[in-house]
Amino acid sequence: MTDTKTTPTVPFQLGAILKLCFSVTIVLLACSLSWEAWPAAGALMAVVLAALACGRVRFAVLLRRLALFLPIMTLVALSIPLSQGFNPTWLKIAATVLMRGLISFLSGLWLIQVLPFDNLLLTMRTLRIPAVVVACLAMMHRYLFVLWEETDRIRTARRARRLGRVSRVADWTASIGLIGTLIIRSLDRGNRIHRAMLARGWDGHLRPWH
Amino acid sequence: MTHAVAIDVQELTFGYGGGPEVLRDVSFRITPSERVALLGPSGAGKSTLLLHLNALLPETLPPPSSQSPPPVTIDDLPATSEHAAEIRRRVGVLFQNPTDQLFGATVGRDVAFGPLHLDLNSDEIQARVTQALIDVKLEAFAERDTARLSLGERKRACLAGVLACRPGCLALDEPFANLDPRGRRQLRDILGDFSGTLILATHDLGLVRDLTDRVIVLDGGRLCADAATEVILGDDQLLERHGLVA
Repeated sequence: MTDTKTTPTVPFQLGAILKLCFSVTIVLLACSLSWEAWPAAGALMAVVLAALACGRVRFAVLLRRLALFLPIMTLVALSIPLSQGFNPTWLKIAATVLMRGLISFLSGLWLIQVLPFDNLLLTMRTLRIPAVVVACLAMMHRYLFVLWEETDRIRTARRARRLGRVSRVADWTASIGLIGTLIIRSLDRGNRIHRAMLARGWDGHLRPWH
Repeated sequence: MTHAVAIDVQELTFGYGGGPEVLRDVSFRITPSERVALLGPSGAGKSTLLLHLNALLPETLPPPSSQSPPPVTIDDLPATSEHAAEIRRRVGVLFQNPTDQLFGATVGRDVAFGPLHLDLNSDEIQARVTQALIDVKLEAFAERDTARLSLGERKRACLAGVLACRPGCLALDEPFANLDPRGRRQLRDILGDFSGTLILATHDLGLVRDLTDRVIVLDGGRLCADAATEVILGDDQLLERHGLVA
C-alpha cells in the first residue's frame, strides 16, 4: 500500500468523479479495441502505466497482482478457442481478450489505489449509478474481508495439523479442499445473511440512505 | 393494540429439506411483555424455533387460504405468506453470529436498514437510528466501519439494528456467547431495559436468572419443561438430564 496520507500525489488531488470517469473511460476504450489496433492499445497501456506510476503503486505490488490475474485471464482467453475450435483466428481472438482484460484490470487497480472504497461508493451514488449496483459493491466489499478472515482461519487450522514437511502436490491438493470448504461456508453464510436481511424487512427493493 | 397472547406456537413440527425432524410437536404460549428463556443443549432446536417466530421458516410459508392453520401465530397474526412482513416487523431477531447481521458499511447505515424498509420518512429514520444507538450505548459509532468493531460492539450494533425497527418482541439467539464480562454486563443492562416480550435462547443460567421469569426447555426438538425460572433452575436433576449444567 502506498503512503498516500502524508504526501498526496497528483491522482489524489484529482476529484473522485474525475478518477472514476478516467478509469471507466480506459475500460471502455480498451473494450472497443481489437488486436489490429495494437498501437492504440499500446498507447492506452502506457497511459495506465503512467497513471499507476503517478499513483505510486509499487512495482512489486503490481507484479503480485498480475501474477494472480494473468493465469486466470489467460484461461478465459483460451476458453473461446477451446469451445469454438482452433480456427485460423483463434490467436487474435485470445490476444484481444487478454489485451482488453489486462488494460481494464490495470485501470481498476489504479482506481482502487487512488480512491478509497468508501469514496468510490459515494462517488457512484453522486453519479446516480443504480442503487442496487452500489449496494452489491458495498456488500461485496464488506464480506470480502469476512471471507478473507475465514480463509485465514482455515489455513491456520490446516497448518496446526500439518506435521513435518509436506510435498507441493499435497499442499495443492489441500488448497483445493480449502477452496471447496470456503465455497460451502460462503454459501451457508450467504443464506444466513439473506435471512438476517429478511428479518429486517428486506423485500428485494433497495432503499438508498444518505 | 394489546393482544392476550403475543406468541402462540401449536404442535410445531419441522425438519430441514425433508430431513430428520428438528422440532417435534412443540406447543407453548407467551403473553405480551413476558420474559422467557429458551434452554437446551446444542442441537436442541432453539435457533430453528426462533426462526419460526420471525416467519423465516419454513422457507415457503403457507398461503392464507391454507386448509390447516399454521403452527405459529404472532399477535393473532398467523404465520402465512400474507403476514410474513408484518410478523418480521413485530418480532426482532438477533442472530447468533453478528457478522451475518451487519451488512452495512458503517454502523449508522446498518442500523438504518430496517427503518428504511419500513418506508419511514428521512427524519424518522434518522431519529430511530440515533435513539437505537443511544439505547445500546454506541452513539459515537454511527460512522464507524462495521468491519472494525469488537465482538461486543458488533453484537450491540446488531441489537441497535433490531431495536430501530421498534419490535414488540425480541428473540435473541445466544446473545452472550463469546462475550467478555464487560460485554455481557452491557448487553444484560440493555436487555433489562427492554419493555416488550423477550425470548432468550442461551446457555448462561446466571443471565437467565437475571433476565427472565419463565423457562422453556427444549431437548432433541421436543419441549421437555415449561415453568417459572426459579422452578426450572432449582431442579438440578432436570438441568443435569438435559445437559444444562457441567
